[in-house]
Amino acid sequence: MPKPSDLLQGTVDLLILKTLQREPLHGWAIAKRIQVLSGEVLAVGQGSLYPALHRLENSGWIEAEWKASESGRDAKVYTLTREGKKQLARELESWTRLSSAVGLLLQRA
Amino acid sequence: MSPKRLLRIVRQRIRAIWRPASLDAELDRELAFHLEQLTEELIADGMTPEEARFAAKRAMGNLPLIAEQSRDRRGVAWLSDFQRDLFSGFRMLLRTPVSACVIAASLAIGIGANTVVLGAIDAVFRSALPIPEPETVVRVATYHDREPRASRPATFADYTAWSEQNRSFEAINLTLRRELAVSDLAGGNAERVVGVATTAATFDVLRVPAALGRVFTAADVPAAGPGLPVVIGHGLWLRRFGGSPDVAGTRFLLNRREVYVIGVMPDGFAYPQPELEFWAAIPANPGDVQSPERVYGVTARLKPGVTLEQAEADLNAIEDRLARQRPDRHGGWHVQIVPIRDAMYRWTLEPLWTLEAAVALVLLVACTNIAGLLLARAVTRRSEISLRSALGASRGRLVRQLMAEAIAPAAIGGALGVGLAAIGAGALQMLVPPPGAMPLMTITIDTRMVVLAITMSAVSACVFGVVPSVAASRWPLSEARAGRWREVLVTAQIAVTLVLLIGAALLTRSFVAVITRDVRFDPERLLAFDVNVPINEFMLASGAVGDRPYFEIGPVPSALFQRLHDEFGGLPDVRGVAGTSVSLVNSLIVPTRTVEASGGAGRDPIDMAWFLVTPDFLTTLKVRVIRGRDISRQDTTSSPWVAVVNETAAHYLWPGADPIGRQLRLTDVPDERPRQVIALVPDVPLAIPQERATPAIYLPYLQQPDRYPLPGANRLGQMTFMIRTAGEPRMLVPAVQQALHRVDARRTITNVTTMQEQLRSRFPERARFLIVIGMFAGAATLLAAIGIYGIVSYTAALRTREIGVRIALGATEADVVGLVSRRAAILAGGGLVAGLAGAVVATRLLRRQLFEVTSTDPLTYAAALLLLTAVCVAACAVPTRRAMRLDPTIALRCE
Repeated sequence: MPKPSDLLQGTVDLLILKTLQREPLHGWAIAKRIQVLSGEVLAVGQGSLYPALHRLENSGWIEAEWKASESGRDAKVYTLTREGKKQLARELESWTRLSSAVGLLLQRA
Repeated sequence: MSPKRLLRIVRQRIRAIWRPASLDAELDRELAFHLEQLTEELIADGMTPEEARFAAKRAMGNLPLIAEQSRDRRGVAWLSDFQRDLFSGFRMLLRTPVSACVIAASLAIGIGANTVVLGAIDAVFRSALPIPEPETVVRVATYHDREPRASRPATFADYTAWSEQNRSFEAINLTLRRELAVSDLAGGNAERVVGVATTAATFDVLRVPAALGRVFTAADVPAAGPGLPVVIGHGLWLRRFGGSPDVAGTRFLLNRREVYVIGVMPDGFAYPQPELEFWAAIPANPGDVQSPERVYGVTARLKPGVTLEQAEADLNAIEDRLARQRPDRHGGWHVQIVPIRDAMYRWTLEPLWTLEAAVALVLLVACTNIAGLLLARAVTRRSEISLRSALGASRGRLVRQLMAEAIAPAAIGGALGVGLAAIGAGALQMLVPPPGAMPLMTITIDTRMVVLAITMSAVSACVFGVVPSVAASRWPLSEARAGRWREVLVTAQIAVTLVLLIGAALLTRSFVAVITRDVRFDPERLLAFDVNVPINEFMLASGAVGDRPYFEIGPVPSALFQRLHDEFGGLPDVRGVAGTSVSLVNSLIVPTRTVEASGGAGRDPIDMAWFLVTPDFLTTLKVRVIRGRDISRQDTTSSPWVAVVNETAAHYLWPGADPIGRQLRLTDVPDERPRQVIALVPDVPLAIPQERATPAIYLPYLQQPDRYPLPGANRLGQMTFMIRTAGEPRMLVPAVQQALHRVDARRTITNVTTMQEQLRSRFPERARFLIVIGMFAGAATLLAAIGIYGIVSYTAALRTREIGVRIALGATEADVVGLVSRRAAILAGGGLVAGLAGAVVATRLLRRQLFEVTSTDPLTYAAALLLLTAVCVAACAVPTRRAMRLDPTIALRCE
């Protein structure tokens, strides 16, 4: 299983934004969902997760709110903003381009 | 970036700066929540609560590190860093008080001086001109191909052509400064008042309304006869008319002509010069119209939408047409249009810009010195910087820190500088002549100036901070590298100082040339005053010659002047009496006549400065007669008519030949007779400083025709007497007045002055200005000397061991000197060469202010070079001596 630190910083951003596309989540839930949806392959540790979340928040792609969670404690829930959606589309596109380029190289080389 | 996103980002940043604690608390809660969820999951997997908690904590890893990384993402780290560095900078200053004082003092002087001078320049630009919409008002001047930089006033013919044919101006006017006799209708209470003879359109150009009454328009000005309207100034109104509110309509005599007061100008209005007290629309007499005299000021208001360039092209086309019609009068002349603000302020702005250049250079030199100091300090902080670098500070971060630390001294220097500026503003006002039409200019240090000072401090901090910061951040900063940087700085300092010294030297030399200008006569103890006979007492209209009016000249003036000459000569303490029709030097207008050599030497007639003089004129004034004899009392109307010419005139009329005995003719006066040249004299300058040599001719006032045209006829009634006294000239004034009263009680003397005063009127101001520039050059030299001393001591100290070894091995004193000074010599040499090159370029800007000195005058350059070299040598001397006296045993032991 590749360690989370092997992922590029931009990839973490992409994963977080994509995860938030469906519904707002708090940090723990984002990490769990990434783990589950990737078939237990990718695990984003809190050492990368929270810095990434704050970076995205400071750049205005996501917004945060303190809401009551199921466990009764308040949790900081993140929502994708409209600009964040556009950024997601952009990152998705560059990721697709990158991965197909790598694939092409591997095929031809 | 969308505005909503921007807003979000800004909100985040503000929160990070304003309430970092609440953000930290939030972060802790978030991480705690995560920890809790992880613990619960582990419990659900089957661990016990304690095991789960420990496992979760382990899994979370380094919580403080995560917190810190998240904090870093907030993007406002730089601000708190900056704050910290700033305070650290202040603390460092406190720890080294001596160097802090030196830095603060030199910065304070540099920034303060710059603030004051820039404030003065700003005051000049911002000062409200007394006329509405001054951007559309322009001054029209002329210049000749031969001297494109010398702008001259216009001739009457120019004005007539321009006003009739122009398409660019709403209104155009003519002004001529006149000093005229003002008296009651009965002739009593006479005084002479300075004012402006102008055209009816004047106030259409100026558009300034009167404070009382009204200003005149074309409709008010009668073509002939009495009833001329005159607008008087505030001062004249108070002084002569008692400040009466009913003054409008009051009649009085102006130059023996009946006029009436139509309005009073507001207090403080004085255009175009401060001492003007009346504006009278005196219709031009035909003589003026034809006069070739280039003396008239022309001002105009542009039509809306017309630019300066368009107007200039328009008038130049008219001027070309004039040149084709009358090539002798207008050939080669062109028009230059200048905004009124520039025209009025040029004399004030030029010295101010020079001063600003000087203080800017001084600030630069001060900054270089400080940079050297900071470099030396950075070396001692090597270990601290290495530690920071090891702990993870990037190079950029180190540079930021060192730059921020440079702000502390800059801030202190700037604050002190503002204080100094407030004091200095008053001093500067004494040095700088206020521009025309303004009461004493007030330089205020207001918020804008303070902001300027702050900006300058910031810029200075960058300037002197950058080198040490960049050098020091490349860890480790060895002493050798610091030394090399300082060498570069010192070289730059020397170059800048040399430029400053050369500039100051050139200006001083020019000033000395002006004040020691050989005026070619002896101006000591000469009392000068005017006696004038109004033209209606001796001029009788008598037809016309061609297009010029002709007059019969009565005997009144010459009889009067003869008697006065005798009376004045008989006064006690008088060593000699001379008279001339207009003042020899610095006269406002010098009339000219067209002169031709008789006997057809082939050259065209030429206009010459024309003076009517009394007998023994040359002897009394001690003009050095090159050849020939003085005009004497025997030269009367019945004896052969004579003339005295100056060198330029003789050279033109009879190049290479002796002018004595030759004949010449004044071609523009029909009743003139051919005159024989009896004396050749050197060129007496017509103005101080005079730019080019003008031909001049001196004629006896007793040998003049009985009929004379205008222009010129009126000059026959004017005489400026110059009396050489044994003692203080002004003491003779009462005796002179009594003598005049005895001869003719109606006359008054005017314009009482001494020749020395006339020659020196501008000197004290200029001298003070030069002293200030000299002081700044001196300050820069001192700073440069300190810089050299610093670097030489530094490098010598570095090489103490080496020098000790060499001495021990037998090096002579000469060898040691060579060792220490060679490097310094290279530095100084490089700086001097760079400074010379820089000076050649920079002093081109000074050309306008230099008299009889070129901007690359070798003597001046050599002198400045020598001075600075001597200073450098002296500055090196102390460390060199120390090195020579080094005791090798001590040197080898020290580290």
